[in-house]
Amino acid sequence: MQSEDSTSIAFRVNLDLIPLGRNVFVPAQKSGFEIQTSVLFNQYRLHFEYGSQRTKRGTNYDYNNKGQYFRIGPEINLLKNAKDGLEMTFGLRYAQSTFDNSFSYETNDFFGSIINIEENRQSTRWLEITTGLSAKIGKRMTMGYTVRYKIQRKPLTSDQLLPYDIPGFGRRDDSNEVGFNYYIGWLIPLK
Amino acid sequence: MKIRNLVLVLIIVIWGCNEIEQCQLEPNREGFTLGFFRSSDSTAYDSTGFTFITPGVTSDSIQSILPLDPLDTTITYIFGTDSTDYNLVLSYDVIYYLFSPDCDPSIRFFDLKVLSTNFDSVAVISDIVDEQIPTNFEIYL
Repeated sequence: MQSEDSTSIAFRVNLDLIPLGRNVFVPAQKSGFEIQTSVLFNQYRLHFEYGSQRTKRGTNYDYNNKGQYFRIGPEINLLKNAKDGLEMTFGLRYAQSTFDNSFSYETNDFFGSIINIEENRQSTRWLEITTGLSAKIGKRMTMGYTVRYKIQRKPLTSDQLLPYDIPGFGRRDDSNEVGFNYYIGWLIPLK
Repeated sequence: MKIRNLVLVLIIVIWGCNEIEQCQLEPNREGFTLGFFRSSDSTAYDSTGFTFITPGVTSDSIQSILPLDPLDTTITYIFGTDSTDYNLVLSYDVIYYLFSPDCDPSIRFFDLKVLSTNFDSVAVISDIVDEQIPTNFEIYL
């Protein structure tokens, strides 16, 4: 019997469950979403991923970071002939993030200044090496995870406020980061 | 037994990965520092004898950290004596960031420059305000 993965061309949409979990459990600190789309040509894929993230930090200060990011890149399924739609993937991504920061704080120094700063439209880019596993959980549904090693981030500069968070990447003070997505996906055969 | 060992290893790994935030490692300081020297022979003053220093310094200790205003990029300091008042006008840049979300926000002062002064001379030792830098300016009078 022919499996669904033998479809030569297909389209797949994945929804990352981790940001959705944050929306439920820690909506005040971090919220957002991430959607991953891919076109599948046999065992080869072209991925486009888009996400939005909002982070709020601080108890005696108020730091807000809000932005969007996208990733694009190729991927290969290393388990070409596996049954039951099992996939083990290796891929590369180019990623870019654009975000706004705001910060307010009352200093406890001699001047006792009340600082309110906004720095908008900051952006950076980086590369990712990805690997992942996924399996079918229904006729056209898949579930899996992707591990990302994020490298070569372009350094950020700022006139006033250096961000702590970079949507889609992680922390600014880390030049390399590891990311993790756990997703549920829908496969749409095209040919 | 094996499961217990595995759980123990997992606990150690998770505990080991837990970041310990030490706010005191933050190197920034809220103000700059001065050293005072005699113009005649470059020997250091033990005490300057200033009657007042404004703004932000309540004693004439030469060990004082002289604060910088984070909402401005220039500041004028007046060093008063019985006979004359000295001034030191500085410019600087300011940047804000979070060293750690658990610490107070960090304010970094840098690119300190002397715009004007009526001291005999001022030498810039370091233009960065940092805990690791004992003196930003050497003042000769």
